[in-house]
Amino acid sequence: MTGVHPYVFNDRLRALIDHLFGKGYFVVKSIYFDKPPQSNWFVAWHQDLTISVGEKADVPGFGPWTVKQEQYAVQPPLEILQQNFTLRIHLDDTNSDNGALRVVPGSHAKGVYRPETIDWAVEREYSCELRRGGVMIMRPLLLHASNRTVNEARRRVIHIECSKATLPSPLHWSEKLVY
Amino acid sequence: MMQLNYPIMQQFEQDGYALVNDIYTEAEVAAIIDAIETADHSGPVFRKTKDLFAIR
Repeated sequence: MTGVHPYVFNDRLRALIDHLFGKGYFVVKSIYFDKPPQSNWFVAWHQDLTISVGEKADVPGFGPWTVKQEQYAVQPPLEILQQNFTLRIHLDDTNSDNGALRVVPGSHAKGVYRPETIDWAVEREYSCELRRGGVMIMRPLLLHASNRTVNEARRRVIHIECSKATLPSPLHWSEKLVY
Repeated sequence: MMQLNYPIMQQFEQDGYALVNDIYTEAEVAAIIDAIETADHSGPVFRKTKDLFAIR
């Protein structure tokens, strides 16, 4: 994905990031998702609670560990997740019919929030519709989900996680790219 | 320099997310898609199923 970043971090996106977060952030994970027109792919409510690191090491505050697609993922201390942000670059018009992200506004401020404890009498959900060329910025602790595609429209998104955290040695980010 | 309006910053702080359209022109979107399609698709972090295609 590194060959794609020069096209992604244009002047408008850099200005947006600078205004919201200031300087010092770098890319720590990039994934391109292509949800085909007939996709049945859906994702249940969750928070992004893990970061990808280059190797496994026993460090206080870091855990539990998982291995996903041959990469180590670990839940870091909450402060790291609270500082990180995610960019979702939309390469197709996206609405609730082709799997737009659904979110629970304000859930990012409630720490680790187990989906089974969501009280829908209190919380509300919002469908994040964007045009092709738009960007969603979110905190990883925001509860989010996505539905199956029902309108046979493709949905391509680049998911990029950014951080400014220095991990305690010997932990290190599996990907670190200064944009 | 981009002029970011107050509601976007306020929404991000309060709600934990913000939606911003028109970050890329149509030509820029096309260039991004072209870069993805010419990327190396042979690594261990490439997944393709009928429901999802993902590259890391």
